[in-house]
Amino acid sequence: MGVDEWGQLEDAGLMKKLLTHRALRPSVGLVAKLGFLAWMLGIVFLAWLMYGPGLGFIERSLGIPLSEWRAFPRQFFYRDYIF
Amino acid sequence: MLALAIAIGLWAFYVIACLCLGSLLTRLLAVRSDPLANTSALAVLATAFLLGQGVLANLWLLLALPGWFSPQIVTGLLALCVLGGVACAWPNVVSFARQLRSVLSSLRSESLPWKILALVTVLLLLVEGGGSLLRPPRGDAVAFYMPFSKIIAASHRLVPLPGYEAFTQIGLQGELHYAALMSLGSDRAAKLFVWSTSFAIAMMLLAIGSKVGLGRRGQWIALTVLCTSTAFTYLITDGKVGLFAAAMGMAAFYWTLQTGGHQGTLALRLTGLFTGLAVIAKFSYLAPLLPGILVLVVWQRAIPSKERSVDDSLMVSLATAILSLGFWMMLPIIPHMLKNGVLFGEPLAPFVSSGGQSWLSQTWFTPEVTRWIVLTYPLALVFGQYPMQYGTLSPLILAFAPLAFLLPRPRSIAGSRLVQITLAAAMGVVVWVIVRPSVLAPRYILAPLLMFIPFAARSAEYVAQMEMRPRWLSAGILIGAFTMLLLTLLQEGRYPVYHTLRYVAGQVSECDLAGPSCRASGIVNQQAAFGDRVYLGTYYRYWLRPDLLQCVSGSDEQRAMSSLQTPEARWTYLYERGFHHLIIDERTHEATAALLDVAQVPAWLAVIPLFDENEYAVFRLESNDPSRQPRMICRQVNPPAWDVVER
Repeated sequence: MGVDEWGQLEDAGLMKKLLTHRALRPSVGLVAKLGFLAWMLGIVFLAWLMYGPGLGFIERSLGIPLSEWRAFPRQFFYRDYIF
Repeated sequence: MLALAIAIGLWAFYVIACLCLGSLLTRLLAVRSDPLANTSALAVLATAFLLGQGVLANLWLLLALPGWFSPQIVTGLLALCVLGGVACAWPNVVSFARQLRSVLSSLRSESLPWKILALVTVLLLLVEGGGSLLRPPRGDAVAFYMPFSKIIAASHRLVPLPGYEAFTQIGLQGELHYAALMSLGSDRAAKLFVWSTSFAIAMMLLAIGSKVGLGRRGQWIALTVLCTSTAFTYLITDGKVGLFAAAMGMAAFYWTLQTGGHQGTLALRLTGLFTGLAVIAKFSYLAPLLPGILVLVVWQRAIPSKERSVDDSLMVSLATAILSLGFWMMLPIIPHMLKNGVLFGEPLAPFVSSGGQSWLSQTWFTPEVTRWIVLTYPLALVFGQYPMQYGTLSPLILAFAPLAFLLPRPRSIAGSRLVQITLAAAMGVVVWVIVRPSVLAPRYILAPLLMFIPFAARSAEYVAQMEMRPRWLSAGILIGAFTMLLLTLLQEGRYPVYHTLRYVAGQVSECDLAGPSCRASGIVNQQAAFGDRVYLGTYYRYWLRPDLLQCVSGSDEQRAMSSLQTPEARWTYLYERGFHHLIIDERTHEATAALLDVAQVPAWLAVIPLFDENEYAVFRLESNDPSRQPRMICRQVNPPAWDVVER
């Protein structure tokens, strides 16, 4: 017997509930999944935009002004110190 | 290449000594009713290593205070640790190897993307190890931590670092490990020791993850999240000492989770020791770590488990637990108080100090900016690029956190260890934001911050395991993890891999990699005679010769020089104090450069420029008048230490 996802001892009943959890069934709808996916990829895209290299290549290839885009989040998360 | 081989050999010896000492101590701390047999091998090994290094640091401190920190004594004590503890350490190593085999065999059953994810994560950790060994120290490490250790190793004693006298009141831990390894003969081994401590952090994170319900896949995700947090990776290679506190804090969290079970007594002792060691390694941990630990201890006792039930004696049990925690927490703090008592006559410094607490009460930003930072938590911790922030948490924490909505509701929210550890972490961060809202620096509170990782990793693991077709979320988790690994590898790996290969091939020197402060120091090292002093108008001093380092300008001299009215008087003062060389970084010490105008030098004094690069300048001071000689000199009064004395 191991521990469940909340650090408690698991039992067969709980595992059964996990396996039939509504949120992960296709019937929950693709919209919910897309929402979570968009959030995950959005965060990673923002990270790549701020820290990642290779933007020039994509800008040239796709004609998207990414360097202008990255200026906004950088400005959002930067302020000068007082001394 | 020989130097690298020696460094790796010394590092391995030191790690083994820590492990052996820690294994022996853990055995001694475990009373008969509290066997370690049911604890994961990962946690046992990391605990032994961290406890060993924590105790060794205190031992070095006690040896350095009276000036007994010689290579012979350090080597002898390390050998004693190995001999005394090897019998206790060996079973831990064997159990760990067995667990590692089991991890590898379970990895074989994973699908290819997860295997690759695990391999790339391990590769990233190895690249960090290469960087730790070969990359020159940077920033604060060059200013304080490593030069301080260099002086302790060279002089066999602990005295305040000239120019940073008040700052020497901080708790010392990483600095003393550096000093021990430098004393054995390798600066590189000293830096590499941070890497092994980062491994201990990773092991503790995995052990905590396992405790709160992470499966193997979740543990790999947790490791990926850790390794893509630049607040963690930056500290592995730069020579700063922040990871020593983080490791102790992680160990404290792990053992707190055990305090309610059958290992309660041992767990309380270890929780107290590791909390004390974390606070001493970095004072900033006092605010965010202690409340979380206390809450967890109370929580473990108050929530009934299968092993123990809540009864009328709960309050007595809580009081006993907190008293015991306090006692064991104080033990590692006592040597620190002794140090500040001996060096400054103020055992409670820097918290109670006649010199004030200016460097403890820091304010980095205006109230408006501070308000902005606080309002943008937790985004600021992940995407912040504020000055002195120095690294961020992995964006994967934010990316995976909403997946927690898909987790099934636990049978008891209060009984869930995942909930407990996450709330303790949140509480730590909130306390930090309350007491130091203007200080956005993940390294100051890294252990509580890393406690958010199990929550994100468990959410991602659950979805990756349970999702039915179309498996978009699982794909998103893998895409996110690989993207962040790639970004971190490119960010962290480019420098060490490229420059290290050039360095190993002999195409570049250490100073080529380290920048102008190293080259400036190199010139002074070549030209200065024994007994000369160097006036520093720069933060960075690590590359100076040990004898010169011990006699550089102190804070009093810097103040005295600044208070003089004319440039001629200032130059005269410097020469009379025995300064034959002057290093000025005009970017950071513009005011000093302005005070020491080379165009207004007394007629009897020659100020000869020796180096000028990127506003980094070196001058030599020579008297044209034989009757004008320095009144002070640097001399070996108590060899091998150098002191500033009257000529």
